[in-house]
Amino acid sequence: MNLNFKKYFQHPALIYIIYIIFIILCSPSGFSWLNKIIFSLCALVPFWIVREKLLNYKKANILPINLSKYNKYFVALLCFALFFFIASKIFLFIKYGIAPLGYDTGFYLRGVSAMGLATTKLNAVNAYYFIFTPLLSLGMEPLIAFYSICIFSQFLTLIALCFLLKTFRSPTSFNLAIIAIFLYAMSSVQFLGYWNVFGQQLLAMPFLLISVALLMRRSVLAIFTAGITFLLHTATAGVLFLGIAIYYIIYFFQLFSKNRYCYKSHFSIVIIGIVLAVPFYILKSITFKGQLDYIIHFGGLLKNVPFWQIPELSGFFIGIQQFNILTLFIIPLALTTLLNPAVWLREKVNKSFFFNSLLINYVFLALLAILALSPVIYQTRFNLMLDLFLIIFATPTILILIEYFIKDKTGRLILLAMIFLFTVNFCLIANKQQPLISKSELQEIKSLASKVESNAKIMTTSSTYTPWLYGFYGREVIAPGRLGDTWELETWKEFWFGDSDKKRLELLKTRPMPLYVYIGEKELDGNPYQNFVNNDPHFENITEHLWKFKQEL
Amino acid sequence: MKKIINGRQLIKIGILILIMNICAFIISFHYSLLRSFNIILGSFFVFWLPGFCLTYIFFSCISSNKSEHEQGKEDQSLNWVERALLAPFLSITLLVFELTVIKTFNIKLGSFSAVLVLLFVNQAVILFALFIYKFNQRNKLN
Repeated sequence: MNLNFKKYFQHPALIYIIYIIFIILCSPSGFSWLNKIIFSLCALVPFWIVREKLLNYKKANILPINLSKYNKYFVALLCFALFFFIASKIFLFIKYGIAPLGYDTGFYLRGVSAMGLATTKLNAVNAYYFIFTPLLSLGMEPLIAFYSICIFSQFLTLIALCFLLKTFRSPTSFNLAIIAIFLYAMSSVQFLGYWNVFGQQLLAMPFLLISVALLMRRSVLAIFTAGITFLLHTATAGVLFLGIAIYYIIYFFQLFSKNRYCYKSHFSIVIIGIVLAVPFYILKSITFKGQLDYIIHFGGLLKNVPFWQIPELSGFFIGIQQFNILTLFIIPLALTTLLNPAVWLREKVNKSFFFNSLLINYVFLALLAILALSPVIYQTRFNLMLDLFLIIFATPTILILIEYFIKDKTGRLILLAMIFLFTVNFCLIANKQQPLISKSELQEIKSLASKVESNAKIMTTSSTYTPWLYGFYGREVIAPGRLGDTWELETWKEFWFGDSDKKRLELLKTRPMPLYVYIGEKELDGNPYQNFVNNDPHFENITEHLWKFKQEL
Repeated sequence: MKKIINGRQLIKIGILILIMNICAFIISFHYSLLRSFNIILGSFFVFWLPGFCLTYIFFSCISSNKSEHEQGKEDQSLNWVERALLAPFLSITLLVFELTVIKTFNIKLGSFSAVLVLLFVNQAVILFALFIYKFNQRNKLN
């Protein structure tokens, strides 16, 4: 680590300039230059406080951390964060009933319900559905089991964050873990991920974090948890393997330098990892090949994807602009830690700590930032993982700020105001999330199975209703562009917006019978196909939103 | 006579039982109380306990005369909090392997045979971990 540029890098003025440049680059693109300057000046405050603190530590040459007398405040913060975390996950169910979460609920519900049928092939293992087996065996209903695992995966992420922060072996690891819990509970990005029910990714992310933590501990178990990440969610596993590969390339590269850092256990991890990669690959070979072919087909870039598939293949999540605004508080704090690695241990970073603990986290932060900014397939989903690493990096800086402010009454009031701000910000965003389907309509969909023939197919005219019908109707569904639909986009356009009802009739006759058409309440009124279904004698109204199509009059 | 359980361990067990009771209470809004306890105990046996035992096989204990900070610099040992945190991950890892093996033998997932295999493997892991723990304790005393 005795590189020449280091002494220039540590020059007080230069590090402030680098920080300001980073802050300006990371500020939302919608900000005017004046706002960017104001934001940078505000962001300078925590950076200055941390630098001052570190300078004092250096002069005193001790570890002046005596947070134990403030432990009661940290315990109170932990209780508040945990209560808030649980409440934020449950209040949606209390407020909106059994389907308050996002689009994918129905797809997952169908998958969980089909688990008992055990149709999975051995080389197309989806570990996500395996996890439901014990719950279903214990007598849980599929929907309750699915929601339980969703909430459980949120807890697992919380636990993984704590474990990762404890792995840094900082003298303040207890306090760091509490702050991480608080930040995670207040993270709007994570809440939106939960609301969108990205089930597999939500469960794979804690496995990514725990694999990183186990690698930091040089444990062979990291290979198994990384393998489970692969079986759970390919994109998360892709990030994990890429990150590990970059880490080991840097690690092996430095072995050729004079002041090398060497730990034999790293070699054994790499060798065992390569050997065990084969059985893990075999377990998911069919699914993985399919996904890989799909990505290769589009060159991995969103610009090559047809426009109607872009929302789906970009990951159906918030874009980088919104992410930037939602993480506005965290970014300066994370950047402060990034540029002041001494905040972790409150002492000079030695080679062992750098290569064991810091480097791998730096690699993942940089990798995820690049992926979130690049127009690659699944781009928006990387935001969810990036947010976790921003939380990890923001934590030690926040602890120093707490140490700085907690000593007097005014400082404590400032801290309370900050907690209040975080909470209000989160509540405003969480409260905006409305269910995608009303209670009455969901009830109607659940009752459809008893109102139609057992071999009937229900065709939804809007993709909004695809997952709800697929999950809650539970039988064969025809949907635009999904579930093996045979119509091209042009055919659908002809059906939705075409002038000829005769053509619509012909198109419907190509579908397998008996056929029902579902037009939900969220579809805008006055479309030609709606008038056709409402007025044509070939349709018989069964329920408020369901029509039976009769081939012959 | 040597105490089997000391005060600290009693507190840890108490916390565990309290958490399980709270979970069972929440679930009891939907299921009967008996079914709720059944689900919570079953989940505890599948999603936490085997992983907790596995940590005793793969990681050593932190000795009480050294601080976590000092010890952590030297080896990869875990204290009880870290074991508790790591436990669900190792349990899920074990569960996925068990179910993969069950699939290899073409046993229907969720069937009675599959549940029996799960029970047997988890119990074997717990007993093996107990054996390793006792063996290590005896070695320490010697």
